[in-house]
Amino acid sequence: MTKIICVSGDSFTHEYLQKPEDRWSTHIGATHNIAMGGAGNDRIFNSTIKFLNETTPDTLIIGWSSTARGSLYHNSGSRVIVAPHRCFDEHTGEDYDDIKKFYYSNLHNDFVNFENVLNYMIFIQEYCKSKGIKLLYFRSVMDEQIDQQSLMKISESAFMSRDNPEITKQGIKHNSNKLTKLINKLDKDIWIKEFWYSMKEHIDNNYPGQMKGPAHALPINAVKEWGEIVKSCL
Amino acid sequence: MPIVVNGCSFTHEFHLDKENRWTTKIGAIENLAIGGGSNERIFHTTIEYLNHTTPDVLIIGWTNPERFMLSHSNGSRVAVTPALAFNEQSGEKHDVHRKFYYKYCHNQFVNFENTLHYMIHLQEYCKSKQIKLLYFNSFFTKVDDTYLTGLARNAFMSREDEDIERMGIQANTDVLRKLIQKLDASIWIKELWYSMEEHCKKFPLHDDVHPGTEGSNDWAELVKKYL
Repeated sequence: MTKIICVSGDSFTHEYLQKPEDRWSTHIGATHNIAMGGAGNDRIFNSTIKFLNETTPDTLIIGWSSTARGSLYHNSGSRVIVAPHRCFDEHTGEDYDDIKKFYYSNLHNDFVNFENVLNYMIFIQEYCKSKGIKLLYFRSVMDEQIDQQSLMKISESAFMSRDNPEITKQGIKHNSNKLTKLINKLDKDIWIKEFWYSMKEHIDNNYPGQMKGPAHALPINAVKEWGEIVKSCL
Repeated sequence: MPIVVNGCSFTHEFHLDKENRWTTKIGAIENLAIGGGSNERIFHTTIEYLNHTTPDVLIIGWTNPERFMLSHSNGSRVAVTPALAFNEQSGEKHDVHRKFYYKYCHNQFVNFENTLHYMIHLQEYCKSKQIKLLYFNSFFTKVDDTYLTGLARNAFMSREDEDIERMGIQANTDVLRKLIQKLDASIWIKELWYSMEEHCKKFPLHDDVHPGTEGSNDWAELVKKYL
């Protein structure tokens, strides 16, 4: 019986700029590709849990995206991808500049998005463990590093009292510790190649200068190689 | 037996003294609910909790899908309801968030479909983790065919002509029906979709129209039977 392999993520998994036969998801024999170019982690998480409510795959592979992105719904009932380079309707492709402007002025927060994605990673990890689903993670364009200094930097945007510099310093430390605790809960063994490994960095390092434009047109050889790396983890 | 509860004002019961709340009477050790909370908030705060603690019992009072949750650029959470949007941490009103949400983002079909997915996902998660899970409906409308068809009219679909639109409504009603069929009726207090508001209406209401002490006490007795 064919194994059900589901892949979820953003353009690095959707690969809409590649011919279907050139996509790494095709190369590994994915039966379901629920990724969407431009997607943020809220969208990735929501479409993944919806998929898991319908189907129990043998393998689930998730490429986590940039925390600079958001996800909203449109009152027409469709989903809106919100990214710094573009905000558009998933179904119609229509651009929504009003929504983008509001999101980045009033809703977006780096700490919230990073804390949320860590919670999503842990929750799906535990769900898959309890259901016997083989789970693999990688980073696509998520550029956060997880050393102490980087976590302190992200924590500067957390909600906290800023009454005086000492309280703010304690708040940053407290929030950085929250992130560290969440990171410690991540299962390092389910990551492709190594913990926190990034497909984008892999391609940048091995195929320098060959990734083009905000839509991340990926070099065919790089995609093929990524497919081989993923295959070796299956 | 650690019991955790989540929901909206019907579970938060900020209007009652702590000793009179149904959650206190059943011995809940943690109350994650907040008045004005949405199903979005209920789901997300529940998974955050489950990521660090495995309770013996989890009780969720799902709320009206008209509500939503937005983040604020200062890192806090905004509870968005048709009447009011406020900051969960500071209590500050955020009318600009409310206006934005209902003008651009609100869709009844989306919110109800998402709520069903949240219910199903937590149900399956708790089953696999052997957490006893109980659901109830705080106060939203009775879920019948008329309600589902009404929601499905708002779903994203082609509306090129009447026939196509009619088929779209039918298909989306079926989407909701199929999701409802996945709900485990046996984890609902009393019966599927049973509502605390309905249950408590025979008792005097508090000034703010929530169940008063007597109603809340009676609800606690009912919940206890399921523990």
